[in-house]
Amino acid sequence: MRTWIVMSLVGLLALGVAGFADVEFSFWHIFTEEHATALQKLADGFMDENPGVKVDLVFQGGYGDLSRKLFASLAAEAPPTLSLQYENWTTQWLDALVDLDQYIDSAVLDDVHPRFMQEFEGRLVTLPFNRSIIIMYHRKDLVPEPPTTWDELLGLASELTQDTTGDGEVDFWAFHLRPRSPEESYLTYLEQVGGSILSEDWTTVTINDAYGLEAAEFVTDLAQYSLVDPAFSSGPFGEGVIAMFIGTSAGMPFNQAAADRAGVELGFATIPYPEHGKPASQMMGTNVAIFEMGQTEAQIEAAALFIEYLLRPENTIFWAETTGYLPVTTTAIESEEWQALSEENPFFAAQTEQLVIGGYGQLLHPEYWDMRSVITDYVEILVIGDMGPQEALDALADELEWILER
Amino acid sequence: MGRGQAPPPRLIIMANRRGLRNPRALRETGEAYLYLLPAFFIMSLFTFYPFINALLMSFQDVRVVARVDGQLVPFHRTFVGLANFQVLFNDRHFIQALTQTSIYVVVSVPLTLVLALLLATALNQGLRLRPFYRLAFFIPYITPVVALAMVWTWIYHDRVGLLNYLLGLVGISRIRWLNDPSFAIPAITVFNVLRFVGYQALILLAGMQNIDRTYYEAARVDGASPVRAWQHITVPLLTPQLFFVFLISLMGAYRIFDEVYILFAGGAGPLGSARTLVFYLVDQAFNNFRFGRAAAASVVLFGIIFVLALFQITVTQRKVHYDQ
Repeated sequence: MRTWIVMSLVGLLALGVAGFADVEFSFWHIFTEEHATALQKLADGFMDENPGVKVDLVFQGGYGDLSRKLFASLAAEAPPTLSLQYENWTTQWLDALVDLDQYIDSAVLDDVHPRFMQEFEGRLVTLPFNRSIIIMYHRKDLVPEPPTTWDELLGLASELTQDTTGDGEVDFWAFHLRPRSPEESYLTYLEQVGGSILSEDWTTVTINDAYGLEAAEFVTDLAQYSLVDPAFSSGPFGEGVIAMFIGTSAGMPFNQAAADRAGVELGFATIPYPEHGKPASQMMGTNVAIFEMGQTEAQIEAAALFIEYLLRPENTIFWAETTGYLPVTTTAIESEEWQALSEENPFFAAQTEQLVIGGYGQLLHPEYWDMRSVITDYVEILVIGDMGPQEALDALADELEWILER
Repeated sequence: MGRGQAPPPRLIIMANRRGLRNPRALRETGEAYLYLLPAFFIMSLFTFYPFINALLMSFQDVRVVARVDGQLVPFHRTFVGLANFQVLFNDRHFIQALTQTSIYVVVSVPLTLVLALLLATALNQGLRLRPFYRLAFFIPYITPVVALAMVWTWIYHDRVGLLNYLLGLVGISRIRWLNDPSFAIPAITVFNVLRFVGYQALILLAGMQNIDRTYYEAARVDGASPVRAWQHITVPLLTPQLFFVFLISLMGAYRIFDEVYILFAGGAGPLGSARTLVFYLVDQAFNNFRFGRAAAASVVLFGIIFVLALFQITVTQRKVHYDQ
């Protein structure tokens, strides 16, 4: 009997050394329908390769629900092993996250597309998963050749914006501006001219410098030809009252449905940028990160192995093709398979090109949420025209300085 | 004191005190406390503890998690004195939320009450389809606020909304109800006045129907007009219900959140013009993870409601007439 017990223990130990012996870890996400099916397929493939590991995929509702549940789980010292998270959440619980470069193979990390690599206070704690980027959507009948520069965009916008009924009020707009989404209405343009919210060392507010002013003046000009409305662009696009807009590539299914509703053909392009600037565009979507708190070393290692699996070229391509998110590794983006898919599908081509030429990430400051909130206010002021561009930027800079100082 | 008459209150208290020395009375009192215990336990867990905790947090800097001496500490708290309150009262968004909520309360609470009083008076006139009207006015109150707000989002829509369509018929040009800063609070006010007026009217109607008819008969004999009878009999004898409805709606109005969240698609409206105190609080706690600041905002909100309730109870109760 004793011999059997000893032999069993030795056997279990051997399994532990060779691979994973019955490790289970949870992955909290927000995916439904086809996205959830695709994720489950990835998890099943991983579990087939690693029989000792069980990935417990847990749907947690929308992003708001997920952030609240993550917070509650941290307060209860029981977070999941792996979770999706936005950058401004990561900054709030940075201490609780695992340094991924200690667990993930350096060759895998080197292959992650450089546009996606983000460091939080010098640490690599997240890697990209369901990332999207802001691109331009347009009606092909009205905009057969999408504008590539700010001047072209403004020129075309002045031609397309009309009062079609002759009642003295504009009822068709060239563009749609969502002032309460500052990434789509100001911050991307700020980045395009070389501006920033803060200096590189985060000690000075720079949003009201000459770059900030140039971006603000462009937004003010564009607003003249834009339907200014906080709703998602798919609404007015489906009503057939706008010709172009910029928005996250994750919204493509909704925008396609809107185009179908309006009976028009939807086109995709990179965002226009100033001739002396750069084709920048803010990346959206979430990353994955591993929590240290409450996890065993085996769970952390298994979750890291799963991230490596997700980053394999064939898997990131499968995920991108199925869901419309971006492939996240250089090998995948440059692969013949993805290139062929991009040739067939102009949406894939536009978002991939936008990423490669100008994808950039969010400001990783811990007070970003409050900063974004006041930026939103002043973008609205700009668009409504309650203040001139410089006056609005100076007032905005004062508030940002207060946020930095308090 | 004759037989059958109730003893004066002072004597009851003295008798009760003597009764506590009586073992039977003591047992009965003990039993009463035992019955209260489950409710007290639940209230302690879900009301008193969170309240005390929020009060403490309002003087603390709370981090979701922090590393202290190499150890991860969840919900790490540091005492910061009045710093959270200092930030609050220098935060333009908080001042905006406080001002806008107060404007909403000052306009919507009396307006709803006056309309409810008029509606209750109308329903009290023996209308032929009274049950139908009562149901019709009560439906908005029992309809989930989310469903109602979704409907109003469409009613208020700039381009395809019902309201702008109707205004267009009489030559009034399009109003950007939910996208113009000057219309955000009025839009919420109209929404909630119509939502609560039926409920309040039913409470007032029940009060009106309990007023003894003999007062009205006496007034009619004395030659009082219906308006004077309403003014001098109905309204004074309705003050307990008016007081109740006023107090409840005042407290509810300061806590306005759901309507704003749905009508303005999770945002604070154009230029933050629909930002309310609870919206600010929720945003700071669950989007910005600044729990100390959110707790300080909740303490301010509690203080406002507490002072108003005290003021109401002490001042208004003197004017309340009971028909006894």
